Amino acid sequence: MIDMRYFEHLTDLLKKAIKEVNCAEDVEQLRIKYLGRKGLLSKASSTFRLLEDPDHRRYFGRGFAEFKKFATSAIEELQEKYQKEQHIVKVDLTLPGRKVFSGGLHPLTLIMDEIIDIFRGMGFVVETGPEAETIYYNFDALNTPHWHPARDLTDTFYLDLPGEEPMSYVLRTETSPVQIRTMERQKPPIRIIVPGRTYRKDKPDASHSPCFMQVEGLYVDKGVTFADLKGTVLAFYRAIFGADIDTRFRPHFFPFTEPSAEVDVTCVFCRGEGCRVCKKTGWMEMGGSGMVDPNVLEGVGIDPEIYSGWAFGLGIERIAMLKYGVDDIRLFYENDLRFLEQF
Amino acid sequence: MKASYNWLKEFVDFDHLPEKLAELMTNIGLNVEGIDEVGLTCRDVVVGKVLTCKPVPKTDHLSYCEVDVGTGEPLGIVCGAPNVAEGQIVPVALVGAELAGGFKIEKRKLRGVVSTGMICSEKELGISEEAAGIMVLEYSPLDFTPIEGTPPLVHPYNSRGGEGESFFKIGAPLTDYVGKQDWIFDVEVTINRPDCLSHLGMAREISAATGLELKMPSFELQEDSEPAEVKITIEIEAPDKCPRYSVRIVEGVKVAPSPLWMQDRLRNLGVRPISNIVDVTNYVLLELGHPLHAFDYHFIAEQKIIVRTAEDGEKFITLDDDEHKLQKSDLLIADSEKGIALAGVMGGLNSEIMDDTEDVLLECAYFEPVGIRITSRDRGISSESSYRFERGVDPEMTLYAVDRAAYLVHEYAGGRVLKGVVDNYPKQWQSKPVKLRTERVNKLLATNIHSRDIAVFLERLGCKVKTCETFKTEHSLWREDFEKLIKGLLEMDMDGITSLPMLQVRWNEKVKSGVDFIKGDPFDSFGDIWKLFNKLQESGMPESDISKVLEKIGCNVSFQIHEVTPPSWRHDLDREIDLVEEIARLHGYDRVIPAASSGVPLLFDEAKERPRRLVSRFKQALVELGFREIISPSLVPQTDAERYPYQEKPVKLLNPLSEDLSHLRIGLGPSLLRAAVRNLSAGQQNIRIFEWGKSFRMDGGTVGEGWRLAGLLTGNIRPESWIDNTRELGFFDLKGLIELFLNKISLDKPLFNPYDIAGLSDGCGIFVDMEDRELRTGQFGLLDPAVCETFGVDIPVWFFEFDGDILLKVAGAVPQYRPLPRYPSARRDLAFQVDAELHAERLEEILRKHGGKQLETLELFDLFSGKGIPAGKKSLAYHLTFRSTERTLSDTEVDRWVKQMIDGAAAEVGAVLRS
Ligand SMILES: [Zn+2]
Repeated sequence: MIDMRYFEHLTDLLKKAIKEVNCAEDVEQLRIKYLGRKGLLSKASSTFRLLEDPDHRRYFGRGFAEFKKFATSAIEELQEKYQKEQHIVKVDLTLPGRKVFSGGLHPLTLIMDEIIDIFRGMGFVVETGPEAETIYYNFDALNTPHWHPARDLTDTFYLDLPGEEPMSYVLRTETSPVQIRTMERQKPPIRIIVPGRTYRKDKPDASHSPCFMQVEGLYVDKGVTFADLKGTVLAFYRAIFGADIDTRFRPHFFPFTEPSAEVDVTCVFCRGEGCRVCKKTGWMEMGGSGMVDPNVLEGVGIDPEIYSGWAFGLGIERIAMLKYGVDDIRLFYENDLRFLEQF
Repeated sequence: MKASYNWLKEFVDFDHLPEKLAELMTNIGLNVEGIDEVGLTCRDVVVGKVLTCKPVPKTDHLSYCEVDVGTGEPLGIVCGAPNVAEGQIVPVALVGAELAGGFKIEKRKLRGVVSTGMICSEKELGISEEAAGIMVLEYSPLDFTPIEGTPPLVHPYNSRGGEGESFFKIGAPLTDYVGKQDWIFDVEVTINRPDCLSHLGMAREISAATGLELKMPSFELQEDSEPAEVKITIEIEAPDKCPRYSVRIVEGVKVAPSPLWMQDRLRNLGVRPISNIVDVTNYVLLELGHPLHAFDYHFIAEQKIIVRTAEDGEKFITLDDDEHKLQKSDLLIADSEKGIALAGVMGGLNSEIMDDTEDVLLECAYFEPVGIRITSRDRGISSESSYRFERGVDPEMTLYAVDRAAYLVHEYAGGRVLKGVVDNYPKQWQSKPVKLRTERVNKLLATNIHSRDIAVFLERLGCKVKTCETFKTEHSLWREDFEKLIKGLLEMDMDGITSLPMLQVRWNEKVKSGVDFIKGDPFDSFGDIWKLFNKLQESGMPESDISKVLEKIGCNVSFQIHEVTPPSWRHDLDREIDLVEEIARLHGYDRVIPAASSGVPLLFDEAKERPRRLVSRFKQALVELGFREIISPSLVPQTDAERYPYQEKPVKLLNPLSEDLSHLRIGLGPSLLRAAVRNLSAGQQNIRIFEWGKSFRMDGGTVGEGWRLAGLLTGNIRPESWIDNTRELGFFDLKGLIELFLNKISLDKPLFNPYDIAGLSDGCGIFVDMEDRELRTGQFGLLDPAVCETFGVDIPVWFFEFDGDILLKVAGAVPQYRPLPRYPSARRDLAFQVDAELHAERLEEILRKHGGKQLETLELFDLFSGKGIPAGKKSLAYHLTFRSTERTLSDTEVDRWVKQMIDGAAAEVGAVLRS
């Protein structure tokens, strides 16, 4: 016959024993006696297997569970109490720390945030706009001639919209449409930057991606000059690549601006000495810029006789690649964690 | 375009070394993207004459030659080439010479014969890939027997020397004749500058930038007395498409290879030499930028050229042997029977120069750019000609270019040039003068360029410039004053201003409308006065009177105005700003001193700042919860819309790059799944990623575009470690993360609404709603395994997606401070037995309602069913905290509220209190 008060006895016993504990070794003794592989609980559970009467089983089971809970927590408590002293001498501190999941921002976001910070410091406001654009905003209003190859089906993605005129919507090829939208809405002074995704029909390779990111800047006011443009762009590149960076403006052609300039910066790898990457020139091409064409200003109802402005654009991936030493643009869009975790 | 340094130097005598020249060109807009050094670098290769040539005994192909290299003592050279023969003039590499590829010439013994040098092939010299035999500079008249099927070889170098006298100087360095050292620039010519697509054009820019003189090629064309016009007539049926057509005829030419130096130049610039006639047209194209075409005169029927539009469906075979079906938009050069050339694009197979062509017709025309562009695009042909015509060539260049070509044909292919150019020029080129203000230049550029220098720059570019000083203004006026003055002035009688009455009449209708005064704005003397000036001029007032009017109102600054007539090769200069750019280029962009922006900082616009800050906060919140941001392409395959149960219709591209990138994404789910697949297959076990990006859908006939924030999780709740175990993620892990996230972004009172959501597993999806369930913000749950499977994922994937635009509206609530508690709280624990079906949320709602405002927290600490709980029931246990902000609560009042809660729960959902 089983003594149903068996577990009550055990509980009393344990309570007494606990009072006598003095050190970690006593705790360990206690643990072995009660919870060990050949301990009292283990024995009780083998007894339980012998019971046949369902009532007995139920009572015994409940008592067993209650006692186990009590004993485990009591001994754990003791262990914790006495182990605190032990930690100092016994735990191997060279063991690795507990890991947690570490999140992180995408490298392009990091660069974009940095760029936005720099321009905000110079008084620029951030503007955004749609990625699916009308050809009016993407080409016409930007003074792109009708024959310009950028309008070709081979260069630009057009949308297939059954409800619209054919070839009336594109995926924006630059973020400049937002400049037009802003100028339509707002009187000068205007000083904005427009970050965002843009699209061009380039086959993906190490330096091309059909979607990519840009930041463009625009400044329109009375008396805005080419010298301001040079000053602002120089300040930006020094902020992002270092104070020893220089810029070179060389004449180029963009429909949106005149005079237009391509901006080169000191090669970030050789700092201008000339290396393989910059083809020994010491310069790297970064993006277009120039004085906003009077046609563009007139188109949005800003009088070019009174106001002038400048604009510039730059590629986020390009800057990220230079800054982080990434040699393949596709890595940014493949989302391999082994890549992303490096930033 | 490729350009030769030596050739440019023939036009402008600059001192710049190649690198310096490249820098100069880059700085004025001719970006030199690369420099290639070409030519023979070794000077130990000389011109020699084979005096004797005998086979070496007991060999089947070696010859022993005695070669005169101008030293008096002939060299003995063993040669293995089959084409070596006595009397030839050949290149000889002397002992010590180093050939292409680093091969060094030494004195050698071959089959017992000493060889002191080597007769070289073109390949060995590094001139071309030709390696079948030695390079023969001049054949001996004795050994020269034409082989059937090859063109008769005439040696062009002879044409200047007398009979029997060689053009070549024996012993002279080979580079005097061929393989001269040169530097080939790879120049990026922008689309607006077709005039720079030639050596002349680039040289003109160099001349303008340096001030050095531009020298045109000098030549004297020897004409025959027979006039060309009796041999050909030109009829232009489409003068709009072909404003000018000029031809010359050269009779009795001998088709042969062109001179070596010309071949050299063409080859260096990427053009394959063909024959003297064709090479000349290509040479002149590279030299002057004007495309030419050479016809075999005898294939032109009835001595007549008709420039006409093609018939729809007319067939034409271009000289690359391609048949084209033409359209009305194509322009055809034809005779009375057939088309002979696709105007400005490519010649016809039926009239091309053959080996036995004797009489040549040289065409030099001006075709209108748009037409050529359309034909080039529609027919899918792009040639050096069409490339230039569609950008615009110089219509005034045809006579010079055709003369130049005729001269070169005559020089190197012989024959006689018939007298005169047959020139049909129905639409004369007109240059429109453009006004340029010195002040405008300096104002835009922040420079101080003198008016005189501006005129000089423009003249160097070929513009005609007339400079005049017009009137003076003072800066100190404000708009109102200015307006008043003008008005008063018009009412006054003014001595000496004869046109004033007329101006007064017109003031209201014309002048005033043109001057848009904005009250209160500081007066911009420059722009406004310029406008007024123009308007006064338009009204018919003479300039002298305008000056007087402006003087009366105290205007004191001079306007220096240049009237600039651009040259015929510059079609891009038709506005003032175009000229400003020219001045900026020639003055030098680098000489404009960078300045700080002159404007004041602009006002901070909170409406624009808020979304950007919030997006950063969303991302930051997820990063803190262990998520990695990803960015994936917005272009996705069409199959996404089939694999993922979207309700919306995707937006399709008209001209996708590939099937994988043919649609715009509707949501971020597929993008995240693809990223998951990629990382799972790379061996990652735990994935927590999110993306903030645009989504697109058809909205009526047009595009609906919106922001989305979505994330995906799979794997364990925490990384594996030696300390403790981990376990697989479950629903409440996700829910906990979402709750924490929504809390971090200050989303006020989100409502969770369990629902069977498409894309999520049934019974494992929740909508996140706002504003009493009116506003659907997002959803989260377990991704439908069927969807996962179509992307190749067979493990549980947890997913959430929010409408970014709505989040931007509702998130970011400003926290409101509550005073810290000053009185102790009272705690109670309650356990209820309720129907298993009852939502915990509902019970909580009831308890809060009945608990009153002193119920501070209500926290579920146990959910239990099974033993001790009847079937169909469950037990929910809560910790309650009561607190007042005004006093310490008494047990009796707390007990009263607890009782209210118990009674309320019993009444509303039949909850039974468990002790
Ligand atoms: Zn470098």
